[in-house]
Amino acid sequence: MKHTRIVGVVITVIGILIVAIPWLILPVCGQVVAAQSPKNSTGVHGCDNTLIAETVIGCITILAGLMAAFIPKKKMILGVSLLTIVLAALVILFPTEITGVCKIPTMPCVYGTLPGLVVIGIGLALTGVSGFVISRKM
Amino acid sequence: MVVVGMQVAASLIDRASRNGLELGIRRLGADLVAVPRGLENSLINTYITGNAALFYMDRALEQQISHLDWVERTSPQLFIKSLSNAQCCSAWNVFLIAFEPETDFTVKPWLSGNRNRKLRANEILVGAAINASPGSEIRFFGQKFTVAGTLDPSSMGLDTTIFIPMQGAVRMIQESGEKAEKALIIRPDQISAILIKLKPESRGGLPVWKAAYEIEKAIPEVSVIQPSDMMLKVQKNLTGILRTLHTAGYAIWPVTALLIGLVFALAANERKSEIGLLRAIGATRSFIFLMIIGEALFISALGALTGIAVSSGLVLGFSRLIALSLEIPFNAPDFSELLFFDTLALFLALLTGAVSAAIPAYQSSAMEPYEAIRRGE
Repeated sequence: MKHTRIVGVVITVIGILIVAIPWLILPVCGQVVAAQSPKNSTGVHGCDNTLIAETVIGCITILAGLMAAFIPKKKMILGVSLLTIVLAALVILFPTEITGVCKIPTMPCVYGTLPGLVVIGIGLALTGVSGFVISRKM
Repeated sequence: MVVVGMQVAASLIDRASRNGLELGIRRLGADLVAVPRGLENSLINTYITGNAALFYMDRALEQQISHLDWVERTSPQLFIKSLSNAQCCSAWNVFLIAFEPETDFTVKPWLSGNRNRKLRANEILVGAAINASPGSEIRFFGQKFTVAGTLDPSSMGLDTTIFIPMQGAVRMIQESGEKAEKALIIRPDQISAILIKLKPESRGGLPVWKAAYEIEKAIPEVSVIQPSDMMLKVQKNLTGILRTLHTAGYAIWPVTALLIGLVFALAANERKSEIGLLRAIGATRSFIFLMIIGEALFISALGALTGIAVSSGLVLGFSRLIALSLEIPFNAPDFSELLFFDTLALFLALLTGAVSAAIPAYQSSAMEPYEAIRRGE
């Protein structure tokens, strides 16, 4: 039961990071522009849709993590782990294939946000796999 | 894992920046570059990172340089930066270099594909890292340009640069007042840099360092950059981070070795009865010794492989961010070089594990079976 709670907490933390990366840690272009000149609009960039998508996925991940942490039952952990693996794939696919990022490599979303999300997506996938293994042993 | 990761990261960054610098200098094509006096560091930074540097000087200076006896030819370039977040531009903060196709000897030799085709004024060449295929359109300052070709990679800032024929750039500047959100204020007689090709010494040319000195003496308005200046700058930028990574790694390594030894000593102590039983049923001393060494090697290998995977993944994944932050060129090592670093790191990790666990392994193998079982209880 202790292990399942730990997995739940880790998933929650990763979910927070998924939201924080494109907004604060390695922000997308619109957020960089807004930070530099708050009075101006953020403008329209290719990475804006990625920002919205990752925010939604991050929120779902946080909810899933909290459920796993507070309801450490076998079926819950199994379900959350499988969901986490799917969410991890989406975290990686949205900025790389589905919504994409800006085309110019000097844009912050290309050199910062994109690799950051890929790394955190891999971390989420590994956590999901760990949760799956733990649930099978329960 | 941490030690291996740090050493692999340091080796990767060092090798990648050297590769990038070698390729970038070859790609530059010019023997010397002249810029307005005192702005050589700005240009070096621009070439390395691709961050636009905007400075201008009189075009007449190019004529003065080209008339020098040891100069074979020159070609001017004009630096422009696209607007931030403007509707009139489809790319943000891109470094634009206007060049003269008729006199150019640095850009077109690196064009993938048809190098002899004459560029029209509204056609541009894009650096290797810019994701725009030939035929696609990009707007700058309200002016539409068509991508005519992509340049070969240089591993430096030129990969994120767009090259515009001077004629097209002049028209863009003139019409920016009407078409762009912000007008470009650059006079027609201004340029930013002069690329210089020297005559070979056998034909009356001078060594590069001497030619640079003579040009600066003859024309005080310019500073002249040699390829070695770029090497020095990159080395200076790298020194700090590499020293930190290497020092931290070397400092942690002996501590790690001691810890491994301690952990295995404790583990061997806990497993005395198990070892005693194994000896009692016929296991030899060398079997016990190799068993413990084998466990140490397995754990060391697992840690090393994890460290290698994580550090390589992070360095290669964030290569652009690292290059921008440290202001260094970055050309990832090829597979054989990567394999060499990783194998060396793995070997050192295995050696550390084996050496650290050697004493506890020997002590465990030397125990008499009866004593081991009795003490284990």
